[in-house]
Amino acid sequence: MKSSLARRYGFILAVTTTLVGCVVLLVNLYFLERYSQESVIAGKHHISQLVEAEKINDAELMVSTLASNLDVAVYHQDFSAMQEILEPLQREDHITYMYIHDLEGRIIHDGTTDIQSYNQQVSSLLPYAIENISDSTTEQSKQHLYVSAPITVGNTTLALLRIGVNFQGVNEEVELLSNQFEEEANHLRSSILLYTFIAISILLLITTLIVFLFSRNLFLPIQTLVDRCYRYAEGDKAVHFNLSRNDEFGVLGNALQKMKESVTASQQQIERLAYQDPLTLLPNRRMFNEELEAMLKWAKANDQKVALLFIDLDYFKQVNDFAGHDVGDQLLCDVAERLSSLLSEVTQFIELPIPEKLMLSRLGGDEFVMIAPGFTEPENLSVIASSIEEVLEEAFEINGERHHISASIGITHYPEQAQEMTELLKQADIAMYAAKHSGRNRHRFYEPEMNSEVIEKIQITSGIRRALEKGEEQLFLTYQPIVNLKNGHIVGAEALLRWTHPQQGLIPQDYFIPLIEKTELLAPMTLWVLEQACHDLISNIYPVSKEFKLSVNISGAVLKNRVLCHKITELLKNKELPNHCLHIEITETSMMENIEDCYDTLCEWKETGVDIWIDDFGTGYSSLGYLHKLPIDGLKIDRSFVEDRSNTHSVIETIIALGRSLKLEIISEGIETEEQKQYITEMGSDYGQGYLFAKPNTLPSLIEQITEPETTV
Amino acid sequence: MIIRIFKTCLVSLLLSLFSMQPVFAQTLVIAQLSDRPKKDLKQLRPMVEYAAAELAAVGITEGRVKLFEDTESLITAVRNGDVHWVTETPYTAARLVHEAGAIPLLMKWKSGQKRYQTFIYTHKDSSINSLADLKGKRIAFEHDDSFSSYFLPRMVMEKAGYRFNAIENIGSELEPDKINYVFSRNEKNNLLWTHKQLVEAGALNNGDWQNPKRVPESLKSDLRIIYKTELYPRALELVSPKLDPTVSSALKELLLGLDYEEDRDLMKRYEKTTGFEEPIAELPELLEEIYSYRKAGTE
Repeated sequence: MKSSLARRYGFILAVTTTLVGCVVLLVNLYFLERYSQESVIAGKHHISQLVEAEKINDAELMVSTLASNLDVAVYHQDFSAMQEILEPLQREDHITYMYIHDLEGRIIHDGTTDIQSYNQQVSSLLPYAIENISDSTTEQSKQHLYVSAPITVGNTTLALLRIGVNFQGVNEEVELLSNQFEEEANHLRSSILLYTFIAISILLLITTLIVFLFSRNLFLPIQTLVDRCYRYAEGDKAVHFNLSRNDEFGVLGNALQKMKESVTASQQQIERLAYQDPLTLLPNRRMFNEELEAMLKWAKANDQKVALLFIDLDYFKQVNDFAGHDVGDQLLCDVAERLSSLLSEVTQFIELPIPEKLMLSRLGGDEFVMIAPGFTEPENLSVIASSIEEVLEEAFEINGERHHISASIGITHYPEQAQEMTELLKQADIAMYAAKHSGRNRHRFYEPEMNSEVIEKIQITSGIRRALEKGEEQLFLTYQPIVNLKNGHIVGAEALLRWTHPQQGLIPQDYFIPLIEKTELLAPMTLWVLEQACHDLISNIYPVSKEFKLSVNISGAVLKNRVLCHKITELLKNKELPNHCLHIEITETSMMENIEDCYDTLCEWKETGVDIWIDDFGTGYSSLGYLHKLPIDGLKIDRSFVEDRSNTHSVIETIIALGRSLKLEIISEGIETEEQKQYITEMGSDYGQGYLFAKPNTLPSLIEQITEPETTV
Repeated sequence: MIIRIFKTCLVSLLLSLFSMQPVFAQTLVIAQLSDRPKKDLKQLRPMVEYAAAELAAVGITEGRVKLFEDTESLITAVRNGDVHWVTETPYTAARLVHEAGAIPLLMKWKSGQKRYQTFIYTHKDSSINSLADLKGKRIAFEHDDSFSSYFLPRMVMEKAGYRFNAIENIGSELEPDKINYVFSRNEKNNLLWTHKQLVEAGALNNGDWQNPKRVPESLKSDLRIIYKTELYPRALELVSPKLDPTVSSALKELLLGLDYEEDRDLMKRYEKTTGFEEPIAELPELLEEIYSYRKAGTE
């Protein structure tokens, strides 16, 4: 049970009331007890006093009455009459004696039938001393009362009547009466106690009830606000917190209302942020997902079609790289603007059942997606795609510079191609990929074959990942010897990566390296190759040939990854290789693409003692200025020039001349015939590589070749 | 009860058959001298009411009690027939017989006593040993209506030649050659005065003397009897000369028929009666003696 403030407040009040009630009860009881005790004592005292006075009074009255009745009897000495008068006293136990005596103290009658004490001196029989026998007095001891009265005829006193009364019985009676009184007082006290208790209990009960009702009522507005808060939390946006009260609860309600308004505003903003791309203000991926899902439902329910156009910008990366991210961002905004205005135009020339649902969103980077619900003909989609291509082909002018991009668009649609949202998006992506690979600035409708190509690539990527985990089980290096063309001696070798696929067998590096260049697998793969090559060099080759030079290919993509470059530097430093025995080969194209960035990296590497070579030289567009500046040690003439020398004669000649002038060494690869060897040697190439000399081979074979005395190929 | 009813029926039947006298509605009145009317009423009423009920056959419809303060009125009432039935001591009976023509019906036994006599007694330490010693001394009688404690002893002693002098009270002056007498009002005072030697002698009947309640043993031991009289009937039932003899016979039969065993309650309440008997042959003589002495005394 939750701890309700009202309940707690009520409880505290009730406890306080109960305590006060109990204190009142106790004080009441205390005074009642005191009052009762004192009343009883006073009452008992009063009773005993009253009874004592009464008994003296009674005794005196009795004696005087008897005395007055006895006059005639005494006068006539009528003993029987005296006895008759005294007889009732005789029967009373508490009468201890009764004497009628004459003025000399001689007893006339003592109440007995035979008047046993007749004529005796009364003073000798009385229990108290008496001065004058003819005086009538009242004496009192603890338990006795001695009363006397004169018996007179006319004015003459004939005799005296003396009576002793034992009032122990009376005392006992008083005691009994007092006890009765006390008992009744106690009974009354108990009754008062009970009634007080009942009254206070009822009062407490009623008070507690009132307190609880009051507390509940007092905290009712809080409960109302709490309920409304819960309703608001559960999504009831219509709820309001104004209580129309002027008290603290009213203020609290108003404050909550303000808070609600503020929260609502924030929420709307958050929703906007959540569903909007902050750069282009187009719907973002999240909204695209929800909208596509909604449209698919709609289409399913209404037997309609939904098309998806996946738009990827061509050359955006170059703009971003060369002109900077600010320009890239601006470009994206401009693209969004152009596409948005195109969208409103599209609805004019293509009939759609819910044109307002034709939606463009940005998924991220340079990827845009358009949802076209309710299209009828694929031709219309083609028209839209062409319009997009057209709109984006026009140059973008940003900060006074003109930038050219284009768009590769992949198209697919529900329900013919795919039923599910993810599948649909995947297909559009694949189709876009296909468009891009078929030369950019075009659109392609999705075809299932595209799917298998992509799947194959994905399989290779994941296969490489597993191969890297297993290391030498699936990956290994082969070495193709490099020969000094002047004497035919093996001076080095190029390490080539091989992958033994569990199902597909041996796969050459040219096939899978480009696939992983854009993935996170590039770094581990590069480092693995370097590590392996260094190991082979130090552990196996160096012991047999101190002059041996091992070439390792590094993908140009590595140069874009600063972290990886640095890792490579560290690795090379750690290996402490002899100078010049490891050559790093980087293709001319990739080096030129990253000419600004690669300089520092190449210098770092070189400092570790390795040589830098340009691979496939002649295929790229090397700037001679840069070539001069870069810390390179040699050029490897691309095999295409060697294979087809009829047209490339002058190119080879120029390259070799360039190398000579830049004091660079030259290797020619792809030499397969003696004729080619002859020719390249004549041209002045220092080294040769190719099937004519040796095919790529395992490390043991290489070691064997090296150790053959005076190896000449 | 059945026997009594039977007896009553039988008496009534006999009476109606043999007397053949007309039967008149009549109230049966019983009378007595009384100084304690309340007590005497209580003693007489049940018997007269019983008798009246029993005597319905002879014309009695109700019974009533009439008490008299003095003997003269009683005598007149008996003579006139206003009173039908009297229960009295021999002294009063003697007067009623002689002055009112009352007829002694039965002799009554009281408290088991058929006859009684008077004892003259003194304190045992007293020097009085015979009646003669009482001359110049005081004797206490009960009261002047008392047969046993006044009339009888005085009659006996006067017949013996002693002379009496009445004194007002104990302290009164005494005549030296007479026996001075004083009334003690009741037997208790009589006893105590003698015991406390306020008087030299007292007179009590043998019934009282023998009753420990009247004369407790403690006192009796201090006393000495110096003279005892002859025995006299305890009490007498008399009827008015005006009473229908049929009724008086029926009454006599009724009373004789009472049995102390069976009718104890009724008889006990009737002055502690224990039985009735036919008047003895000497009764008229006794009554005559009493009456003649009385007459001599009063004249």
